[in-house]
Amino acid sequence: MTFSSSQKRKAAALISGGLDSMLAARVIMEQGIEVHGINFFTGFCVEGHTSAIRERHKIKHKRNNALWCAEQLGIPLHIIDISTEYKDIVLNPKHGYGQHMNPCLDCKIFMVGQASTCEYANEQGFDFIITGEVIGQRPKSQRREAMPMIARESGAEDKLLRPLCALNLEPTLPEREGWVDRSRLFGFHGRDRKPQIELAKHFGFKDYAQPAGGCCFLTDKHYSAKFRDLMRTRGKRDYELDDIMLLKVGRHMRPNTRFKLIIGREQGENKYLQGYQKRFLNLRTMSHEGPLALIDGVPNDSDIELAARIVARYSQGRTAAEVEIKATWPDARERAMRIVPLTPLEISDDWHV
Amino acid sequence: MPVIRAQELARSLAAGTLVELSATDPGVVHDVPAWCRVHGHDVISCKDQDDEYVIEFKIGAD
Ligand code: SF4
Repeated sequence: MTFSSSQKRKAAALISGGLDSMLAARVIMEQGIEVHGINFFTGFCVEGHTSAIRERHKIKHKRNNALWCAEQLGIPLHIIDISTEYKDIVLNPKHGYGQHMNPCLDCKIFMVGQASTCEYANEQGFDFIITGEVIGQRPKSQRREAMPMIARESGAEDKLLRPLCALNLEPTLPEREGWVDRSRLFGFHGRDRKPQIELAKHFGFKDYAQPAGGCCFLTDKHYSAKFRDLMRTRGKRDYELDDIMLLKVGRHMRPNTRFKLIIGREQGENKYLQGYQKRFLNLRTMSHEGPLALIDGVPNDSDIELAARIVARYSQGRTAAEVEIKATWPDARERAMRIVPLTPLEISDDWHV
Repeated sequence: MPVIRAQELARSLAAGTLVELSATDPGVVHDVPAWCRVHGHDVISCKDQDDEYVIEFKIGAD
């Protein structure tokens, strides 16, 4: 096939931060196409701050993988905040959920649609969109029948090219028009990662991310449990951005339906929680070193005392006869308490969310 | 997310403008410098202050 294009074509690549999207972008760049990365902030992203919050991860990578990919590829990366619109995708997915609370199919359709119609896409005038999808890699969202469904329902139609598995699919517009040479695309399929790893080696990519479950917290069992608990106890299927950000941080304990405690597990988390202390009733250990804890819900007086005894349990005063805890309300009211820390046996396993 | 705030600020600012961004999110000290490298902006300083992180960068030429 001859590559016949007088005009330099432009593609938007959905960059999740994982290896596949990085490879897909690079395969297309190899063909002389100008590629721009697009990454979406849903509020559930593993990317960004969360690994950085906990100090014990200091040695591990704290990078934002999407930005890291863009840097390796030498392309601009535009990050789009879709957290508001995304709510409807998470709460009412037309195609249902994956293994946990992950609405992957609806999510893909939405993201590809956004990449075609968002303000940035209009400004840049992309000719087509690329993703790192591979047929059969994920049981639901990347099964064969899902591929045309995503193209159709996102509105991208034949402008959606999957360079890693294109040979298993009908030729798309960029292939038919000769903007992209189909013979230089791939026919990967299934869960085997070897072809991707080989291709990464070929391009000299090292130290790339290979998220096991998916690119967001909604594929995580524990996170999904906390998310369900949030909606169950609020009595409505709804959430605010702060709610879902806080689900990523701290020890979450719900002794009863009136309130939940979010207890910082280390300095990094305490510092992050500090950013919320003016919005939540919060507890601090005054007599000993201890965590910052936020109380979410509507606790009564005895709940606050119970919360204080739990927090004391996670402070340096856990074995002390008495610990002083200060409760501070968002309106700056304060209450000092001298309480006895709970013993491990008094902390019910059921409280851990 | 701090890096989106940085991105939105940068869109309307001329090359050479100094931007100071503060956040309680520790990711800012990794993400904003990475974002600056990708988009050609210069990080001037990055400080871990008592209750927040403050990062200063200069908008690069497009
Ligand atoms: S893992 Fe999360 S971000 Fe990725 S497709 Fe599924 S729902 Fe969307």
